[in-house]
Amino acid sequence: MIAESSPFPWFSTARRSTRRLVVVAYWLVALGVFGLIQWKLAFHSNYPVPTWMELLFPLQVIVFLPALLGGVRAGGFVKPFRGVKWAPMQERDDTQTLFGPTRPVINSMTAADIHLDERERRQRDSVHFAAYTCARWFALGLLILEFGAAAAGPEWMMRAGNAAFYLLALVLWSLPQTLILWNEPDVTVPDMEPQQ
Amino acid sequence: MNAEVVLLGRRISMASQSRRRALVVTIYAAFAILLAALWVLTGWRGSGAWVIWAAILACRVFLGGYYNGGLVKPFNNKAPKQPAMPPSILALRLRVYQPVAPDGQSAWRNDERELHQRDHAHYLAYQAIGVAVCVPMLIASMRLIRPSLMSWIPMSPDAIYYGLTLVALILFLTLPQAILLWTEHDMEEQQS
Repeated sequence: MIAESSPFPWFSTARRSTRRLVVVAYWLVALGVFGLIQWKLAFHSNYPVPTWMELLFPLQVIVFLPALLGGVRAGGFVKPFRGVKWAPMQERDDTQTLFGPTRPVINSMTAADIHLDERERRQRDSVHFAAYTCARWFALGLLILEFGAAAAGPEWMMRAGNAAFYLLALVLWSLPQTLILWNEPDVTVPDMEPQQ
Repeated sequence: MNAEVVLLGRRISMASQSRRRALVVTIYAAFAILLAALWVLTGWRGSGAWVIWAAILACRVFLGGYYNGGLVKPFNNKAPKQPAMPPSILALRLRVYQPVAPDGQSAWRNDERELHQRDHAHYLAYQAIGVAVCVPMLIASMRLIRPSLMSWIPMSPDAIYYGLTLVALILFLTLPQAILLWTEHDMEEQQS
């Protein structure tokens, strides 16, 4: 499930420890943005309503950061869950690698990165089963959060509604990729192993 | 997947795909009516939790999956807990007890194909809910900028958030089973 071609050519995610660092950094950034906005809204009483640009930032976090992890789109650390079906992306060309045979590529991705085989599809589905179970309990927790916000007052309810859907979208768009990156063992690339 | 559902002591065949699809449509229509009725009667104040109970009841009686009973085998692949005591007189009179399956493990254990179907249904449901939740997130975000954005809707925005969260929870509890019931072919055809 781990893509052979990294979004950053100088950064390999073949090792699990590296991938775990990526996951931790990802969640720190995503939750940091969320916490910053909520902190400004909650504790700065003279803080004006957010501008469109300030709104754009957390939305970009939702849209672009999961794309960095992959899964929901091609080009990330995880292979795209649905493959690449857009016709212009399927025009292939071969490139010469430094120490190995030529590889068919699609933009920066190798052909192996755009389609899941049977084993990977099963892995994708089972990871989504686990993620779905987590997200279900998380959604129940958010409902309880809204109960509390409704009891606290309408101003809190407005913030809680925004916060709840932001967190739910973040979890839904990121959790399967997170589980894959966290649990997948180290990837060994035969081409790169030193010859005996 | 079970081929029949027990409702008030009657066994209703659900072997045909069309019947199962009709059941799914009926269940979601019932949820819509329940949500609308609770909104008219109480504005969901203090009654929203009933919707969750209704979803659990629908799982226990019709859908299965997360709870024992219903058409879809338990997702956790574990044997249901059998109470040491026999069903209560009230349950017997109301005929709401579940009859004991005669063939043991096949009533609850998922084979390899069924486990794969379960996982794939969760994948599809996850994608659907993931896309759907973006709409309320955008609405909630825009309301932070323009608090008067939803003033034309005859509901308070907070009630809308609450209702959408309830809908999300209903989908979380029922959508994988609904996908399985919707897509599984006629059981007679499979046997032939």
